[in-house]
Amino acid sequence: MLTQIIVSIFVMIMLIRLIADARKGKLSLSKFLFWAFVWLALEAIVLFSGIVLFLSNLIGVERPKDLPIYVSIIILFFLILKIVMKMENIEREITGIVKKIALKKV
Amino acid sequence: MEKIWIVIPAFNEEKKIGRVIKNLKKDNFKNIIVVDDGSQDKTGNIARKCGAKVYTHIINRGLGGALNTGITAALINHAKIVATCDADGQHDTADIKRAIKVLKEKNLDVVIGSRLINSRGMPLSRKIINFGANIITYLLFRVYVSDTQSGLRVFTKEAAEKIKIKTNRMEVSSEIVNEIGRNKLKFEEIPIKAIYTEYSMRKGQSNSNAFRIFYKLIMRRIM
Repeated sequence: MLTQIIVSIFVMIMLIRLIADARKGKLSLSKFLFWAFVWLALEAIVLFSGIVLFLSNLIGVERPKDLPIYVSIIILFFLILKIVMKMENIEREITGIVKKIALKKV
Repeated sequence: MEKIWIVIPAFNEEKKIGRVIKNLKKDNFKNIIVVDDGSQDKTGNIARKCGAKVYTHIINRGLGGALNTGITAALINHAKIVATCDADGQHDTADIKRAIKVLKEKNLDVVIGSRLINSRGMPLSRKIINFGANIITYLLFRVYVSDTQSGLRVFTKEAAEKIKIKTNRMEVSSEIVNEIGRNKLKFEEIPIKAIYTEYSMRKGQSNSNAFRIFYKLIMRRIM
């Protein structure tokens, strides 16, 4: 019960901030929809624990409690991949700059 | 020989670079570019004194970055033929001459000097690394070259313009093979002598680098 209240308050704050940001034009529509979905999904999972049970049965995870962990691992994996790709890009850009400087100063 | 430019990527090679440039000059190669890849020793100064045109990377970017700068510089200098060779003195200038001759005679786009067609003198550990790199290159890019990691290559101007180097470090050698395949360039390998000294063994690629190259090449495919 306590968890439900805390999470609900947290989600509420995040949604208010999200809407405020969207009004100021800081977010694109797709980003707004993505985050709204994330927070509402979190709220739904906390309020109706049956959802997790249903999803874990659907995917074939035996213990419903394991599902969030699996999901977290997948999310972390994608985040790391994104960071690695970004780093590659930065490396290439640095090389581009170094090359330009080298070609200018002979 | 006017329009032939030799590109030498160099990183902390003060002990060898002078002799490499002198040997090239002796063999009538007048246009030499050295890319000083952020060396902390006197590589750049020595190369300049020996009469090479030196392009300096303010920080070390690796073989790929240095080759990229060197080839672009050669093209800016109106090169008709661009040859690359290592700065550690492992290549015989006679082989560069022969490679250029083959390129012209057979009307090719690229000639790669292979240390493995006649691999006497190459240490076994090197042979294994090379073989692994070749297989990976073949699996990823569908081009088989007996010595993907060779530093001696000769390109026509047109080929040099087409080859796009994106990777920074040692993986560039496999990347060039990929670019040859992608652009459908006519290429041939010729056997070259590799002069392995204790010095050149200490530099160059270590065994663990093979994994790095593999990973980087996969990243290049994705991006």
